[in-house]
Amino acid sequence: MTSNHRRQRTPQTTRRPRTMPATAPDIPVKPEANHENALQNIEQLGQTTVPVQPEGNIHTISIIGQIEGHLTLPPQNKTTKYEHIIPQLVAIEQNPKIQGLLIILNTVGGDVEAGLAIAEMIDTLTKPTVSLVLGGGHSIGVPIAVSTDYSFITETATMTIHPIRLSGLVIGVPQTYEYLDKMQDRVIKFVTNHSRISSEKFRRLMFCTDQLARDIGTVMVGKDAIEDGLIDEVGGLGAAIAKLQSLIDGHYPSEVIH
Amino acid sequence: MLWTVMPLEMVMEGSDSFAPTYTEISWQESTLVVEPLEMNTARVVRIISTNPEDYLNPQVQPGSIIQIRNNQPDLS
Repeated sequence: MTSNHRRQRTPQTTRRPRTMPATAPDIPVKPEANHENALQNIEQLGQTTVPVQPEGNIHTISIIGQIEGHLTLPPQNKTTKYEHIIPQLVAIEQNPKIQGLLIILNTVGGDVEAGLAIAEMIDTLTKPTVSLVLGGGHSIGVPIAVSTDYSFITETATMTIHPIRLSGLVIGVPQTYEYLDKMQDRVIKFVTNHSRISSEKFRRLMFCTDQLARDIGTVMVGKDAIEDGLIDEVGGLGAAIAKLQSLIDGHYPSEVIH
Repeated sequence: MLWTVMPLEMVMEGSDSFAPTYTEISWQESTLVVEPLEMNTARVVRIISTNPEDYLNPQVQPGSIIQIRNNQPDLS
């Protein structure tokens, strides 16, 4: 009991000097804190902090690892959680200071419902959006990549399109197949409505048998995705930001300053 | 329904032993779901708020470690 009590007190006593300046105005404290921070960085990492930038007008969301749905995945998975992303998209839509959104994808896929939810939210955002597929944008990452106004893929990035599978107990009745087909149709409809690829072509890629060793489907590397009409352009970060800026300039014409 | 290139057994590995403890604490007019750590600190897991701006607040981004005093976040 006493040890517990002491443990709680220790951080308070050490923190007291730090909380003292809170009574004084915030501004004079800041430069000193920044300075201290920079010094600490030099000591620990051998580098300085990035200089303070003017507030940017774009925000970025990275879709990484597994897209987590209604089931919390075990901690060895890196996950993108829809309950975090969706309210952030609401805030981005509503915040007048944010004029554009850059989506960066490096995902292995994940939950169909959560992925489609994120894709629909990005699609219906009224502000300019650009996506950039970096390492991989597989499976349910495909609808998210095409949901933006303009999409980029780096030369070495890959996108895998393969059929949706059922896991767990599967009842071998025609309804099972129909259900699966319906789920697949949702994704195909979204992708074909938001890119230049046709439904027939997407299905052909999905059920291709000579590309993957352990599965059926297709792997597209960089410009393959452009040739198939899925992604708009091959490019990296610079191209994506430049495109987003030009979309913003078109979207907010009165605010363009040259 | 998962649609992923990762094998399902790899995704689900350790799911039976994964049992984090979360608590809810109130913060301003909203609620934070946190994972208590040692020494009056906690890691933010989720924000429950109706104010969209809360989700862009860098202090309570999921994953950030916050100080807790009297079951309240101490973000000074």
